[in-house]
Amino acid sequence: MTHLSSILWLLTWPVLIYVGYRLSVYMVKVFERNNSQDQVTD
Amino acid sequence: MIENLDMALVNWSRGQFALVAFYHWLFIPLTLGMTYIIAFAQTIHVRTGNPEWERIAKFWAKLFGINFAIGVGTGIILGLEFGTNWSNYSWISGDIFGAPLAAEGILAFFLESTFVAVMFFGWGKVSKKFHLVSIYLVAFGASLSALWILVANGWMNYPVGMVFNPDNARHEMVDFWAVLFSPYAVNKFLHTITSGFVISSFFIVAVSAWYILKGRNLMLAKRSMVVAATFGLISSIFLATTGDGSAYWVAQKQPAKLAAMEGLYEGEEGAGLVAIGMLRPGKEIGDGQNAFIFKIEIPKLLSVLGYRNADAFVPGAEDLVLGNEAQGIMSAEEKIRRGRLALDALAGYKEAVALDDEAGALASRAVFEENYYYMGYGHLFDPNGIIPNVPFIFYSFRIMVMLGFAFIALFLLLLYLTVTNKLEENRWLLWVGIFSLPLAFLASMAGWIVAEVGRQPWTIQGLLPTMVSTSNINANAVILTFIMFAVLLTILVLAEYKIMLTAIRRGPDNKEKGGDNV
Repeated sequence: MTHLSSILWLLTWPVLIYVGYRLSVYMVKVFERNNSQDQVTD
Repeated sequence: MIENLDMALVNWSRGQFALVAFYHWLFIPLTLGMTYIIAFAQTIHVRTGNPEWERIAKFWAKLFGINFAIGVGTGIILGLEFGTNWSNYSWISGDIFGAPLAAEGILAFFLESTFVAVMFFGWGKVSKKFHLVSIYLVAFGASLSALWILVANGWMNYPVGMVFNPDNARHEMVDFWAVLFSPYAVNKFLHTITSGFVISSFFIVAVSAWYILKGRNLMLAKRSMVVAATFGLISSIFLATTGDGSAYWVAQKQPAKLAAMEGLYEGEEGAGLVAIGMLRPGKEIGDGQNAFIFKIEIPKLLSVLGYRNADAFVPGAEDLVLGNEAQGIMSAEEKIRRGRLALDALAGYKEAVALDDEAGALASRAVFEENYYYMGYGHLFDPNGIIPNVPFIFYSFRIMVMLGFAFIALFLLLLYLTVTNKLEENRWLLWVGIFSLPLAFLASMAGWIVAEVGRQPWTIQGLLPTMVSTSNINANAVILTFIMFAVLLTILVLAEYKIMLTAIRRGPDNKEKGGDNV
């Protein structure tokens, strides 16, 4: 596998998307928890 | 060597490509990144059933849609310019360059453009899961489009997987996988798409910050801010990582670009990285003047970034132009001499083949193959011309890097203050959030200047100079189309911005407003 390191490096792209999603969901939960007592509406 | 070069033609052709690429890059980053953020919001909706997240996804999808069409249009113009303005380049390298462009059309663009219709018009008409999958397919299709384009671009910076066929004077691909998985290209792809993710995140941050300042759509804006700042934060950290990879590959394959990026004229072992500096105007190669009026340097960092060795020698512009025997670096003059030998031998080989002179053909071919590596240099006149514009590259590089690191801190601060519900108390930060959008574009454009102007004088690094890559057409035709594109694209951009600002002012559809919790 001559190109293994490049392929592994390329695969960080979907990993970045997955981590981005999971971290976003976690941060949204923290945000909602902090906002539950002081609810702001549109 | 090509005689009677029309430098006006070369410069206007470069200018025209840069103009259209500039407009193209005003739209493409949003296509690359917003789709993922829309997909995240819609995924939360599908998993939780909260209609507020669908409303968020729909709103950003509407703004994405306004942006999408012009991005496609400008991309088509760029593709056509390879035929109209750069036909010599296309003739010599079409076998290799055409393959990833064709793959982009067949494997990526069709995927993206097919499912974008489902994404725009499928709300409530197809199942939620199919619709969500369609959004992800648009997002991955856009990234795959970028992959193939940047594989082509990466090959121009680091030509691999090919041979030069002297019988037809063209580069021919011999290893597709080497072209696709070129480490230079893969790193360039990751660096470029993550810059798109950062710009997209700032777009959502800027619009959300404006809503919060106006006291409108507060929950939509804050939730969008949380997702965009999170995605922007990890993307900007990843962007710095891929930037490190870029520096490494530039050092390995394009030492003249690295020398320009650092304003490094005299090479040194254990070279430091200039954190801040001001170049001396009028500095020339070999004039003995200090290149800097002042500079603050981080010791040994350039050697570490470029060669993973704190004591490694980093060649400067003078080493590359004048040569450095101790470091085994050949002078540009000698490379030009060998390049001319290669070009003369190629001409001799063709003549011998035409005359059925087998011995002459073999002799010429042997000389050609011995000097082939320097063939591109044979077209150059001035040894100093192998170094790109140092001040332009040096300052562009610093703008990109400084803003890139500032963005990490800004995303972190925005995220912290949003999730702790303190963002509204810090109105100055909301204004910074709005102005971060043009700064993100500025950083990205500066990056493209480093990449593309930094590759000069080459179209294909070391093999084909830009000045012999153009079409054999009248410069006036290029000037006319330059003006035409400048006027038309400016009108299109202004119209697009007006539509975008109207949609932002109008805001999301409040009839569909749902619950406030995830």
